[in-house]
Amino acid sequence: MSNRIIGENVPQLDSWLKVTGTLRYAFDITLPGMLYAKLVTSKYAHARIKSVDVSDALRVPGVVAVVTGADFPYRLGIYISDRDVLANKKVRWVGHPVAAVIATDLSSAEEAVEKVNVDYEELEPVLDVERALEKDAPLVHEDLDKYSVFPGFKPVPGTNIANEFLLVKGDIDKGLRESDLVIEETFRLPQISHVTMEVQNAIGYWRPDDIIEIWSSVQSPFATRYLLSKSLNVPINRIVVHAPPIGGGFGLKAGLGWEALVALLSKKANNRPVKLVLSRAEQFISAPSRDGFVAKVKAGFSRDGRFRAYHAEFLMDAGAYADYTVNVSRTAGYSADGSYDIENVFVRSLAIYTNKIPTTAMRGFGHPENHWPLELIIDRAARELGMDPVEIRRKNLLRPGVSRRATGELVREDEGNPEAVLMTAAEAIQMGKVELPREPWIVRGKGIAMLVKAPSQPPNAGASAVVKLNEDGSLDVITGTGSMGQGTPTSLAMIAADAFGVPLEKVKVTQLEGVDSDRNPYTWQTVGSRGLFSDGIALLRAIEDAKNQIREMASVVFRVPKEDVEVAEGYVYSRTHPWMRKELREFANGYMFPDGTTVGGPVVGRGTYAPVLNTFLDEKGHGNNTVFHTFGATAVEIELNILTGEIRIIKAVQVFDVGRAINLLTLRGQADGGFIMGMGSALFEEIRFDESGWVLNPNLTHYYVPRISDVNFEIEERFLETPQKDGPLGARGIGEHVMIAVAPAIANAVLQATGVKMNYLPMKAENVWRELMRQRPELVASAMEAYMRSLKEVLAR
Amino acid sequence: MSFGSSYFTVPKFTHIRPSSIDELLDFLSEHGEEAKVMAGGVGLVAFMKERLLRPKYVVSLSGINELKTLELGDKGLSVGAGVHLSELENDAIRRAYPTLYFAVRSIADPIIRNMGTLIGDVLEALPWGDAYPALISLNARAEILSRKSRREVSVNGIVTGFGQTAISEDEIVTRITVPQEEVEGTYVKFSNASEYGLATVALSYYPKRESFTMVIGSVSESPVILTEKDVEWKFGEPLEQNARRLISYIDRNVSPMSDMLSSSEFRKHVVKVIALESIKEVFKQ
Repeated sequence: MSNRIIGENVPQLDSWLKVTGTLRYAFDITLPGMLYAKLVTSKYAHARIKSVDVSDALRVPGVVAVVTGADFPYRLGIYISDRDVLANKKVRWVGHPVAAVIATDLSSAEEAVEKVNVDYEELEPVLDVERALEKDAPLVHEDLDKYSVFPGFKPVPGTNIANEFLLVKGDIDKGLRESDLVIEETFRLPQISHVTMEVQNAIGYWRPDDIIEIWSSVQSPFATRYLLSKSLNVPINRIVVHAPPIGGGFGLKAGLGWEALVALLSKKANNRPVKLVLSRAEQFISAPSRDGFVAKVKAGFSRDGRFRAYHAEFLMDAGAYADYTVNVSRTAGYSADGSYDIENVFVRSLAIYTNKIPTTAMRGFGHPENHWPLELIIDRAARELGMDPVEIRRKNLLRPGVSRRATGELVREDEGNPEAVLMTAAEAIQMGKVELPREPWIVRGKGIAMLVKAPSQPPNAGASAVVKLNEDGSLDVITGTGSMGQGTPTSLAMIAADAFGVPLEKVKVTQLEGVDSDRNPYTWQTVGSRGLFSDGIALLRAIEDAKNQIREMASVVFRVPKEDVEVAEGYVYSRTHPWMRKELREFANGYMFPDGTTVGGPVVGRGTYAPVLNTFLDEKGHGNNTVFHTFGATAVEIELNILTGEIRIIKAVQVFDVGRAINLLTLRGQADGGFIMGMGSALFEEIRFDESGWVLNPNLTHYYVPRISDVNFEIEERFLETPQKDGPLGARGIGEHVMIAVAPAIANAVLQATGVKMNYLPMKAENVWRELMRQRPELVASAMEAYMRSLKEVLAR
Repeated sequence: MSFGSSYFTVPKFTHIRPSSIDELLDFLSEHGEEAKVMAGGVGLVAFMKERLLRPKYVVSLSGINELKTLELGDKGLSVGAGVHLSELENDAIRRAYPTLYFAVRSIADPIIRNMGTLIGDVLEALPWGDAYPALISLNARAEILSRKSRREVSVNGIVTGFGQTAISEDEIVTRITVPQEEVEGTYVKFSNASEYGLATVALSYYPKRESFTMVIGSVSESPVILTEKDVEWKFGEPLEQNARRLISYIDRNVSPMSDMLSSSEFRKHVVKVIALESIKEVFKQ
C-alpha cells in the first residue's frame, strides 16, 4: 500500500471556498417564490395558552398566514417524542415558539409577530433539577406516558424524569465500606450553547406533487428524513433532505431541528417554499443547548490509591425537551467509569425536565459531563493520599485485553494504549516540574485529565459508500457523511487516493458540496466521532468491490487469474507479469479491445458497514454497545492571578491514540479547536437565567466564547498510533474527544496551584476569586499585601 | 445593555441626510422629538433591532463635512461628531492624551471602531462606556448646538443616568475638545467572560501642577471621580503609603452596583486592584 499521502498534512478540500466566502451554505439559498417565517415565542417559562389572537398580524401587508400549535398536532423526537412543532396548549420555557408568521419578506414577518396576541395563564415553573424531583413539583410533561420511546430508554410518567439509567458493577456498599478514603462532593455544570457560526436555518418546500423537499443546516440528513417521515406520517421516499455544507454542527444540528415546522408552513402557504432563519438571540433562547448537570458522587480509595468504589447520581437538566438528551443521560451513565478500572460502581443517571431551554447533543455528549466529576475526584484523592496525579491515574487505568468496563465489555487489546497516552501528556507538560511564580500574586499550576469515549449510537448505526471510476481515471467517492469542518470528506478522499495510487486531485468527494438523502448512500448520522470510522470502513469495502470489478476485466485482458491482478499506483497490472500493465482509466467503462469488443462495464463499487454484535444495555447497564474507543489526555499549565481570579493558559498538551493518523493537519486542527472550545466552556461560558427563567445573556457580548486574542499560548498535539484492527487503515475518531478533558485539566491545575477546589463552571474570574475567598482567604490577603509592597520599590513622583 | 435581538430588520423609519449643520439644526428644531441622530450607528441600529427605539426619522451625520474634523495642536484636541474611533488610534494621540488613546483602543473591536464615533460612545450613556471616564479625567468639554442656542459644557455631567443624557432632542453635540496641557495617563479595563469592562480606571496625571484625576467607570450609573486631594496624595512620598490611602478611600467611598457582569463585592475588589495597577503604571519612575 502506498504511503505517500496517509498521515500527511493535507488542507481540507473545501478550505479555499470557505476562506473566500464562496462556499454555499443552506443560509445562502433562496428559491423562487420563497416566503419567510418568523417565530412568536413565549414570555413565560410555564403557562397555559388560553388563546392566540392573530387577527392584527394577518392585517400586516405581506403576511400570507399565521399558524399556531393547534394547526400542527404532531409529536417530534428522536429517542422520545416529547416535542411539539409549535407550543400546543401550554408553553414550557421562555422562548418556546408559540406561533409562526409567514410573509413575503422578512420585514413584514417581523412586524407581524409583534401583533400576535397570546393570552396566557401562568403556571408555576420548575427551574431547578433538584426541585423538579420533589413530589409536589409541577410537571413539565403531563403526557409522558403517551410519547413513543426508542428501545432502551425509561421515562417515568407522573414525574419529571425523562430517562432513568442504572450502571451497576460489584457491591458498591461493600466497596465504600472497605475504602480507606471516601470523598463526597457535588459537582455542577451550567447549560451552555453550541455557538455554531452558522445559525440554524431551514427551507421547507411541500411540493404540489406532495413530495417534501428540505434544505437545512443539518448534520444528519438521513436521520432528519426518517424522523420527519415518522412524525408527519409521510413515506420516506416522498421526503428529500438536502444538507449543504454546514457552518458548524457540534451536535446542535443532529436529529430533527426546524424541518417539520418549515415543511408544514410550506403546505399551509399553498406549497410555496418557506425559509426560517434564527437570529443569534433566537438561537440562544428558542433552540436547544447542552444540558445542565449536577453530579453527587462518593468515591472510595484504598490507602495505596486503588479506586475501590464510585457511587454517582447524575441529575441532568434536560430543559423542556429531552428528545436527544435521554441518550445524553444514558451515555453519561454507561461511560461514568471513564478510563479507569473501578472495582465497584453504582451510577444512577437521570434526565430531568425543567422549564428551561430544551437540550440536545453537544460534542462528546455525556462525557464532558461525566469526566468533570471523575477527573476532579481522582486528583482530590491523590492530594489526600499524598500521591502524584499521574501515578494515581496510572495505577487505576483500564488495561487493554484484561480489564472490563462497568458495562461488562472487555477492553479490546487493540483499543489503544491508555498508559502511553497518560505518560506522553505528563511528559510533554513536564508534570513534576513546578515553575516559580512570576510575581508573588501570580501562581502557576499544572493539571492533567484522561478521557475515553466511544460513539454513542444504536446497535444498527450503519454506513455505506459508493466509488465510481471515471473515463479519465478520476474517481467519485460518495458517502453519507456531510462536511461541517470536521474533515471527514477530505480524509475519505485521501483513503481513496491512497488505495488506487492516484493523486488527490483525481478524487472528488461529492458530499463536500452537500448530501442529498435520496442520492447519497446511507449513513446513520454525522455525529459521535463515527464518520471516518464507519464511512471509512464502508469506503474501503466499496474500493475493494470496485477493484474486484477491474480485476475481473483485467484477468480477461491479461489472461491471468483474477487473483493475480493488482490495482495500485494508478495502474492495473499482473503481479506475476508486471510488464502487463494498463492505465486505470482504460477500465472505466469496461475494457475495449482494439477491435471494439468490450469486457465488463462501468465500474461502480459499493460497500457497507454495520456495527458487529452490538446490543442494547440491560437494566444494570450491561451489554456490548460500542464499536471503538479513543483514549486521550489533556494537560495544561496555567497562571492564576490571585488578585483577580483570572486564569491564563500558558501551555496546553493534547494527546490521543488515534490508531492511525490519516490527515495530520485535520487532527492538529481538531486538537487545537477542541482545546479552545473546551477552554471556552471551562473559563467563560454559561447560559444565565433569572428567577423567572429568562435568559440574561442571549448574545455574544455576554455569552463570551474565546476570541483569537484569548488563544495566546502554545498547544502541543501528539498522536499515538495503536492500530484499531477493524478501523479504516487502523484509524479511530477524535472529533469530540478533543474537548472532553479540557475543563477538568484546568480545574486540576487550579487545585495544584492554590489548593482551591473548583466544583462548578465557568471558572471565570469572579467565581475563582469567590472560591479563593471562601477556601483560601489568606492567599488573597497576602497577594494584596505583596502587591502593595511591590509599590515600595516604585517611587512616587 | 444589549440583550440580543430576535429581529434581523429595524422598524421602518425615514432616513434624513442633511449636508450642513444648519440644515441638521433646522430639522431637529422641527422634528427632534421623533428623530434620532446617527453618527456611526453601532449603538442606534442595535437598539432599533431590539425594538428599544423606534424613531420616525434617523438623521445621519455622514453628509456633514464640518463634523468630520479632527484637530490636534496648540489648542489641544478637537474631535467632531463624525470622527470615528479608529481615527484616534495613532501615535500623536497616544503621546498627547494616553488616557484617551488606551480607552479608545479598549472599545469593542477594530471593525466597530471603524464605524463608531467618540461622541456616539459618550452619548450611548451606558455605565460600561469607555470614552466617557477617560474624557472626564482629561477635563474635556463639549460644544452643544441647537437652532436657538450654542452652549459649551464640561463633558462630566453629560450622562445623567442609564441611557440618559443632558442633551435635549433639538440639540446636537458637535464636538468634544480636550484642553492643551501636559498630561500622562493610562486606562485600565478589567473584563472577563464579557466584552464589557466590569470595572475600569481612567487615570490622567498633570505633572506641571502635581495633580491627577482618577475616574472609576463601569461601577455605577455615573462614574466615580477622585483627585489627589480626595485621597490625600503626597507627591514625593513612597507610592506604597499613597496607595494605602487610595485603597482606604475606595473602601469608604465606592459602592459598586451588582449586575450580570459582576457582583458588587467582586467589583469593589477589582476596582482596588486596577486602581493600584494604574498608579503603578503612571507613577513609576
